[in-house]
Amino acid sequence: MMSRVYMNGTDYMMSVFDRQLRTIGCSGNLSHLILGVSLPPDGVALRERLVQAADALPMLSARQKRGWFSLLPYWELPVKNARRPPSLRTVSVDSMKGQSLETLRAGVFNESLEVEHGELVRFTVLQAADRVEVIMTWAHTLMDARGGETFLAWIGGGTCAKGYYGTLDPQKAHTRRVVRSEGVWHDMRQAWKALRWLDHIGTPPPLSIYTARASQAQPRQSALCLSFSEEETATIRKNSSGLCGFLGETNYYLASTLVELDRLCVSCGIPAESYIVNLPSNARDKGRNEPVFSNYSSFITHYLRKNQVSDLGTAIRALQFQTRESLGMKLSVAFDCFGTLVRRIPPKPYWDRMKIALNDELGCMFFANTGNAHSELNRFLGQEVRYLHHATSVTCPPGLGVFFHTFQSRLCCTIMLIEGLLDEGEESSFAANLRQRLLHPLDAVGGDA
Amino acid sequence: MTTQSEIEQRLLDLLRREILRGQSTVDLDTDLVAAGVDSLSLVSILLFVEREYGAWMPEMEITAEVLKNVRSLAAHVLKHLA
Repeated sequence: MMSRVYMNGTDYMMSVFDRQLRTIGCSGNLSHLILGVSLPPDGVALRERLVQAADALPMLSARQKRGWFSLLPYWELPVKNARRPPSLRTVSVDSMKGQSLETLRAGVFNESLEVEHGELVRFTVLQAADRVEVIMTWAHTLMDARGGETFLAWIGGGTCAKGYYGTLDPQKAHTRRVVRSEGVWHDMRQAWKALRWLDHIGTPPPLSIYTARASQAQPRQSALCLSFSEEETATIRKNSSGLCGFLGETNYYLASTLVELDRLCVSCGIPAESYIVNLPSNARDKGRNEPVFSNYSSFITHYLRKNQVSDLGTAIRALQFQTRESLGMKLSVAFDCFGTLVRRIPPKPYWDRMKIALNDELGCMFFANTGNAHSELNRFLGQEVRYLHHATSVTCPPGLGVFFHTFQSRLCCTIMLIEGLLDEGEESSFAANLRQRLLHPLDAVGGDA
Repeated sequence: MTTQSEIEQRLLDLLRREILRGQSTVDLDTDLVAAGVDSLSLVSILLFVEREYGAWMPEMEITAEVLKNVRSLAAHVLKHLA
């Protein structure tokens, strides 16, 4: 008999995003982890690992379903002989055809997975004369970035998750909620609070670049990966600690990004009056990173008015105040309860309701800081990993995402964008200004932190 | 009169009950950052101190030294209350 694993509220939100992106012609809500290695990994060993993974973890080829009576979305796990390993392919750069590693990588970002047939994870090895990249692509509905890192580390020979995956009971790993349930009435009150909060912060409504320039948007996602050296990362840490206090990196990155986004909007002639960002917060027990196949996170929503992004200091103070306010009001609990209840709503009305709350927007951008990458990703099947980047699809709206992480003591940042929204000059100047802002907050143009 | 040991016990209770749930080994000398205290946990701790003792400690005052363990954190709270 097939067994099923129910999605939590955040998983379902990710599947709604997937549906929406496919509807407008994009490849879906996908996440990618890019490992830069010195030599191609042993193809036989990698294939073997993937077969072992499929055998041990039926979730890797599960299919999305919805209960007839409960209307709850769930994963249907395949029976033993129907499990298929994640696909693996190798693509070499053909310079005669004008290809580069970057163009091939962009192609990978825009290829769909056959989610409806149980293809939830795919591996691509890109080979150029001087570089090799291993890209793991997965359906975001399956797991979050933290889960993706742990799974990839395990595939690459990491041992920390071995015991856990070996004994993984999918029912236990997935059916639990992000917060403990206190009953349906409690959930309903909290969900109502979450909606009221969205209505409250939606005045004045945000205006995303996607909405302002919808006619220019192409149904493709592009990623611009930035890296900072160890020295630069140390400087940024020092800046962040000086302006935001100890452990204040996320506020520093977010404030810097919002100030630069405002400058970008001004230079593009986009009359945004408010900036709204959903900040995911990891719900795993602190100090542990359980490799659950789930989006095990809730959200904190930040909203900054135009006058709060005019300089870095004001933006930082506003974000600090709002973090206190959000935690004091237990908003992450409220959003989790909202997600838990609305899983019964089909994707289209869910999407429409979310957009109504913010006047047809989902915010001005997506943002995340996943912190230090999994320590076992320093090597992959015996090869030294030289760099690691995350790339995650962004919905339209807002069509823009900025994601930070740290790998081997180096800060990395990926700017995800819907193609066509910004021209090359606007995109590179946003990236350069963000880099400058993080490194030199007091010297950056307009910076008076 | 609030004493340091009283603050230590209440902070320890908060950490065990809410912030570092399930980590029964947390004691007065546990390295808090290594145990998993992050930026959101820190704000939760500051909110707890404000609720219990009526004093808000600005984030800027919290250094690595202050967050070294429960003892140093409690000492900082006490200093703030004085």
